[in-house]
Amino acid sequence: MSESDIDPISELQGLLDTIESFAPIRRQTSETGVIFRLVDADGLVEDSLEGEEEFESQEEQDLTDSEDIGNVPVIDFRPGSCTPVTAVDCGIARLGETDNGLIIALRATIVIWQNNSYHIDLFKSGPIYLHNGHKLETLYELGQHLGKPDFFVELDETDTSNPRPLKVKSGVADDSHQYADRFRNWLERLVQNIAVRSIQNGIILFDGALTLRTRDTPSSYLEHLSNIATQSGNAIIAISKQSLLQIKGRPIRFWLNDVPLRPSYRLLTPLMRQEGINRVLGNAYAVRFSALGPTFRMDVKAARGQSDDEAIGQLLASTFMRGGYPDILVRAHAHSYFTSPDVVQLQAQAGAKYKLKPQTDIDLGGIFAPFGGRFK
Amino acid sequence: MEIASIKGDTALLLYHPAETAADVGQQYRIVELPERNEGLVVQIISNDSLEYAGLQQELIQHILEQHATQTNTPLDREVGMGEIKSLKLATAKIRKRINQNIWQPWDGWIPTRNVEITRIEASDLLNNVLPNPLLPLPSFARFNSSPIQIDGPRLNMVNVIAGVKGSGKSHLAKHLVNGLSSSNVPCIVYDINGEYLQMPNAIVLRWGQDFLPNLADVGYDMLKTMVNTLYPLNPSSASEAVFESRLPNIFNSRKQRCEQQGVAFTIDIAFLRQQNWGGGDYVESAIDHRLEMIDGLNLFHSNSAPPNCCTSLQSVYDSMCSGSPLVFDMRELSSNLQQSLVRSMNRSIENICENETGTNGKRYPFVFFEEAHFYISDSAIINIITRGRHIGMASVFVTNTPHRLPDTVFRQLDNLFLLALTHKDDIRNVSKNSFTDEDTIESFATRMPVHHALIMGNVTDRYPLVVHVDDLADDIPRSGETKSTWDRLINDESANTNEQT
Repeated sequence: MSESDIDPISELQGLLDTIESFAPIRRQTSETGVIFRLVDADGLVEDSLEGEEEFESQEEQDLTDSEDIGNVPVIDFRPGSCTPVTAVDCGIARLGETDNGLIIALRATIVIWQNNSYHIDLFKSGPIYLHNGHKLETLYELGQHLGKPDFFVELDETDTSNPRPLKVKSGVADDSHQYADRFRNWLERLVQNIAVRSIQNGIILFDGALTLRTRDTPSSYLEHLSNIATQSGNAIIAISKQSLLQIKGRPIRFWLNDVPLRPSYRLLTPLMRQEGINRVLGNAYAVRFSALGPTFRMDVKAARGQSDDEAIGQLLASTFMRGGYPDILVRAHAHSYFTSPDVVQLQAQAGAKYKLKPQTDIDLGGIFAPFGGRFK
Repeated sequence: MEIASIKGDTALLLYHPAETAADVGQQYRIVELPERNEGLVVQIISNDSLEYAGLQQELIQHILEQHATQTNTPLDREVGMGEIKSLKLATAKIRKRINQNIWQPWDGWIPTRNVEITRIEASDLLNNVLPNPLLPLPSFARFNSSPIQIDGPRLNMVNVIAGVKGSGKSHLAKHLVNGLSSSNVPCIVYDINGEYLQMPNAIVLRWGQDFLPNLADVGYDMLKTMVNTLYPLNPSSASEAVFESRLPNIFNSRKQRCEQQGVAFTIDIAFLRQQNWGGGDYVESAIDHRLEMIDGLNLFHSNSAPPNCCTSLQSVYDSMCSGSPLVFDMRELSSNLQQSLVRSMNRSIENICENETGTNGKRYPFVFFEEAHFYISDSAIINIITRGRHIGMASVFVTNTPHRLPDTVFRQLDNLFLLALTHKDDIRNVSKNSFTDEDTIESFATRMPVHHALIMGNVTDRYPLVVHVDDLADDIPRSGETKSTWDRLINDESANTNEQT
């Protein structure tokens, strides 16, 4: 990773322009049929795929080998000094599908708490037409942005000075949801790249985990983010609301059950190491931020020379908690999801921009619930 | 523009202001696709901003963060966002049905949502709504810049011009007076504010100055009214009984005598004071005292009256039928005198109407009552509008407090000229007309743009039409020029400023 990626905004704009060049345009004569996604009037839309943190060897674990929870020490919070905090979140909305692609919209948010005030940066992609016929080119470029051109595609490197993408790797974009989520992750990572530079000697909060070797982010990119953060004296802490990870057969959210009503955290990395699944940048913890709050997975990559406890203490001292979850991450999330009016407006924008002709979605109600009621 | 819903006779239309300006009073054609020959004509009565799910959260978040945070958007490709905030919801009333491209009264039919909605051009609307005028009055109003002509005969019989102070009632009334007079329709205006005195060719009469009615013409009733209102005799007293019973007899005797002598019927207060009323000295004295007081007011014609003064309505009626409206300047009359004058003049008008019927002249007048509640009782108003239809007298009530007019006026209404109204009682009362619903009245009355009026009734074939009222001709003075003590101070201030510069 070089310092040439110092302008992620240009990278964002550049790739979006490239994708845009593959999309149908308003001037063309024929219309493109689209099935727009229906949204409940009071519904919220956030279509991120869960589970990308899963470990490939998860199935090989001995789920009966349940560790005695009491053997792992519980650590009480020791609030540290108050420092700046930056939180990042990213959301995706699937707007509709066409016969040759998918239309999505992305939003990412950086919230910075510094000098007793909030600063918010919003990144709004608008409608993105992901043309199935150009998956190879776009995923190749995505990999380049993430510092590993062959991350999503196989390359023909016969001419090393001009490698050419050959085909999309299996599992990368097998279905439209996966394909779309690669773009959400791409935006999130690029915005994280901006966020890690936004403060000095503070805490960078990510939504999710610091899992290495996932399908969507090269490990080198996460390490690169960590390096930039630590150059500014920042620790990275990632909090996963709905972790699917199990350690010693126990889901993370049960790893503080022996100390109810006690804000505390417990280091899980040694146990993960025992299971040979230590693929976390830094250390993984189970954490409960407030007495009545839930238990989350928390990955901590402290700054150089800083202990995890110090970083966690700084986080606790520097951000409010809302229902046992960092308020600053709630704020980032609030700007990153889509309300139903947002979706409708983006669909209208896409319809006008790409000359889309809405088609009626299949109504299965007549088959499964001919007299009304719900069906699944 | 799209149909959001249709319930009853109300359609909610969703639209973007950049696409169309659905102003209150405008009409739209909603036609079924693909044939476009079945549909509705709807009229916008109000506009609201669109409420949508998540709006409250959006606003709260925006306001709080505006206050507490600094927000930048380094990447913003959601170019169409925020447009939802521009959307408006127009409430429209269904006015007509379009069946095979012909406009008909609405019969409850509604279209599907598969429609095309287009604004109706003025000429199209006017051709389909306004009846062909038999005797068009000079145009004084426009609909979307197209001049409209009101059919004179359709102004019969009961009309109301209602609006708050300064909304343009007198302005509109002057247009009507001018239009009717120029069509040689006799007009009589009871003017309590001196608004109509400068009307072109107006005959202005001031009671007690240049209008001294002859008792022989106006009859004993006017005198009786004046005695009862100005200097009443004790109720149920002998004096009152004698006066009421003897007065008609004395008048009749004098009339018979004049007829026998072959001379015109004349009678005055001096003659009445010479009569033997009977009932004893006390009664005689009481009646004479009243007659003396009335005589002292110089309100009736006598031998000492100036020679050129007007003595009866009949004497100026020919002029009124030739383009000269008659204006009674009642500014300086007390309330009692206003009541007496109007009551007696209405009797004279009835006589004139009967006479016109007898001679087949049919020159029936339009009578304009400005703020009628000041000088006519409810029963008299009801009498005017019920009797008016039989004797040919048309009425125009000009008022800023329509709730003071009896309900019967609105139930019998033929045409309503509505300007801005704000008071709920007024709106409720005006809504009692049979042309439209309270929603429409309330909506239009509270949102009426300046220089605009809602016209509906016979002249519009019951269609509520919001029109722009033209300026008055140069020879007609503007209305509502209030004299103010501040004018001199403002003028002084302006003069000082000019000197300094």
